[in-house]
Amino acid sequence: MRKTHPLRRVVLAGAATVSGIVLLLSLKPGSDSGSEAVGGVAPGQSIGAQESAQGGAQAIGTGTFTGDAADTQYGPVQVRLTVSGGKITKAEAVQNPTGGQSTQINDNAIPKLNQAAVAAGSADIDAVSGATYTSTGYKQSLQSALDKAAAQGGGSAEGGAGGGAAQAQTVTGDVADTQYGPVQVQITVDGGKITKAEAVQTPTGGQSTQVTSNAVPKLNQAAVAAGTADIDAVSGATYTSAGYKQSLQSALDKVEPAGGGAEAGSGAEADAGAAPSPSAPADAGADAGAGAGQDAGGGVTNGTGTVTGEVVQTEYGPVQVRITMRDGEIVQAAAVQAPSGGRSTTVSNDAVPKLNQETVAAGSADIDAVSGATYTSAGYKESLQSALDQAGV
Amino acid sequence: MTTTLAGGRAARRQTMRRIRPRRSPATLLLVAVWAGAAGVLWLWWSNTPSISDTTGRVIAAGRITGLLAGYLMALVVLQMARVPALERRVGSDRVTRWHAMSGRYTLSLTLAHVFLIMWGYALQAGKGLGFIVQQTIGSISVLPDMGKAAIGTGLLFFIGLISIGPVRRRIPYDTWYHVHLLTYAAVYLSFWHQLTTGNEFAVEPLAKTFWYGLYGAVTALVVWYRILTPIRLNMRHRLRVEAVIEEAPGIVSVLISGRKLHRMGAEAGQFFRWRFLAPGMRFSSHPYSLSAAPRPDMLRITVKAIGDHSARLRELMPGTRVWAEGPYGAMTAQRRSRGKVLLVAGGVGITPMRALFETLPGAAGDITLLYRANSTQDLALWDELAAIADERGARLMYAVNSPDGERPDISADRLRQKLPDIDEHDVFMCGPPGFAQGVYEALRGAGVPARRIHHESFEM
Repeated sequence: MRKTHPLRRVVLAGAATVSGIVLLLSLKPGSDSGSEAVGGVAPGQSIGAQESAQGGAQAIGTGTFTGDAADTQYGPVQVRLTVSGGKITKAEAVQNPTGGQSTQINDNAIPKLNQAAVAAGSADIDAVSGATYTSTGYKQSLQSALDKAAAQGGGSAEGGAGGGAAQAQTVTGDVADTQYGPVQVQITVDGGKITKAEAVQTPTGGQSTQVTSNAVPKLNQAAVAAGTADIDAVSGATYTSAGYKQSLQSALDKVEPAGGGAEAGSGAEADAGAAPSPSAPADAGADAGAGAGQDAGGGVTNGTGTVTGEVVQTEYGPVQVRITMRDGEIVQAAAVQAPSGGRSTTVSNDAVPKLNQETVAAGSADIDAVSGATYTSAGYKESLQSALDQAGV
Repeated sequence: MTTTLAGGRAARRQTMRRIRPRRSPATLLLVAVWAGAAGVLWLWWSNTPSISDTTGRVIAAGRITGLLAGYLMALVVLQMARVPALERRVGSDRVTRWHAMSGRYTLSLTLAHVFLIMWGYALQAGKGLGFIVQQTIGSISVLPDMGKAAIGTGLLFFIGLISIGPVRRRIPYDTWYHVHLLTYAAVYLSFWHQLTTGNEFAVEPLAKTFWYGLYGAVTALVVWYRILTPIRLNMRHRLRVEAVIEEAPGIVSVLISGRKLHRMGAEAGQFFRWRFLAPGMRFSSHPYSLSAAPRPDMLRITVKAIGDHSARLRELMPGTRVWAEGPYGAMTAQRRSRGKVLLVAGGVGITPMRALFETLPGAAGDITLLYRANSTQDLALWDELAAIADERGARLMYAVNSPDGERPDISADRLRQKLPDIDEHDVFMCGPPGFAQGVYEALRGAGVPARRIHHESFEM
């Protein structure tokens, strides 16, 4: 009943809202504190990585490295790098701001940033105009991926034992162009099975974003379930499904090891923790010819390279060993296939790292079986021997 | 006398238990609303690491206004869900005023949101404020669910437009009301873009769950209390017009019979929204107070012929089906905090006062009714009031214009003179806005604290 002028309330509410919003906006830090941290946090690491890249030494581990997600004003950005021979061979954003305007902007900016990252080989790339925030986040996450790659390269000497699930192999299929844009599938293969499938590229923008976000998870599931590219199309997403199947098939084609050296195929990428390649010494050429591989497939040349043994069937599943040689010595061993499922997973997770270590230590297939994992050990030794045979040791 | 509904004593015994007033949950509700708004702002805050330029600031402001608008939209609908806690304890009139107020505010936020976001996107595209129209068209055509959102916003804007005072007064109430129902469609249409294009919901699945929860709960309450509850009430009680009686010039009472009416839970001082299923009346429902304590087999409303609807009431045929929603209203005996009560009625505002006069518990001399009308002929229900006053030993006063048309003096001094201990009273008041305002000021002048003046007003 108290008399208040109606206008007073309107003015009060308006003023309170405006000043509240202005206050909130002004309380937010002006520039991204995270991006400052990139410059400040780990200069030693990033400089080290750059220096070694320039020096030609492969201090950056080979494989796929996913940087930390960098939060931007419009959402997180996360970069995944494929590094091979000390160089970035591929860069992609696995997360980027979506929703609203962001989808449009990033469809434009991300490919440019990917290209720039590959071209520069470092995080020192220019921002894409009109996508400042995404660019900043991208650079930040890229730097973190590079740091990881550097750490991987430095620690590779003792690194092999670390990964219990070191057998997994991640393969990216070819890009399949559809009417609405490119589709590209990446699968993780473990123990001869597809354990994970994901689309690294899908049509976006407008309706496509919605259609894709609905269809892709279904296709991923179907791929894992089927284990082949023979999956049903998702209704309402015919083009995306077709492209997906095409890229999936190409990924599967790359997986199947056609003889020993196929592992080194261009499409195959070792997962981050899976199979770091050794650092090639600057004087690698000195030993040229000393341990020349007999394998025509080219797995090992000059006593240096990677070779994969034959698949050995054990009672609990197939075992397959891959070794990395340098100057005629085994510097790394990994099981690309090992029995999994049920208790086997536990047993394999325990035994395989031990077997890997033993192999590197012994330098031959003359290693002890791990107790409690007799069958796996036997299969391992057999596959290891076949790899060594291929390498001509 | 057929119009007198006996049973005052029984009703009085029933309410005797509660002299301690139940506190209105308004404060608690407002705290919850503010907490929710703070949560929504926090959602934005935690998802926004930094802002560095004008574009960022404009878009951030657009997001904040959008989030708040989305949050308040749900509450604006909730306020009209006829939730008993709101209708009976906060008071329908107060909730309606909140609804009007927050509705205007939400609409303003929505418009600010559209403007700021589109401006921000235009800036992002390297264009200025002049590009905003193209940007809006572009965004609507490209972004998911934006078409729906645009239609929804258009509807909201239209509804807001016809609710502006001068416009609304030119439109018949029923037309306005039915257009107003389009709000549901508008809210539905604009809901989806919040989830599909809203940054906060894209990056934070928990926020999405919360949003679904908020809108889901409001939808459930609306369906339950606006649709299912009235259906159940009317199926159970089967209301029909029993008789229509002329009480005074232009004032009629409608007696409504039904089954087990005591189980409606209605109290003296409350009202129902009535819809009479007679030709020409079936599409409008109007709030009228009970003018007598409800009886197990009979309810009574007393109505002054002001508009079309109320004028037609006198032509109602006995046996006409009645659809009622309620009971609503918080001006009941529960509001009382003291032993002594002054009831003030202006004109047809006598209806809830008449019911309270009969049922409010109290010893002789505790209850006083002051009845203001233009003339003694206009003192509807006077005989009944006199009978009740006699029976209970209550005081009954009236104030009418003098024969030359001079208005009676209801001032602080006069009130104190008539009722020396007036500051010891709870006051219940019902009447036209101007009258209520005048009496309120006089009561305050006479020393009655504001918290003990209970009043319902449906003027917005």
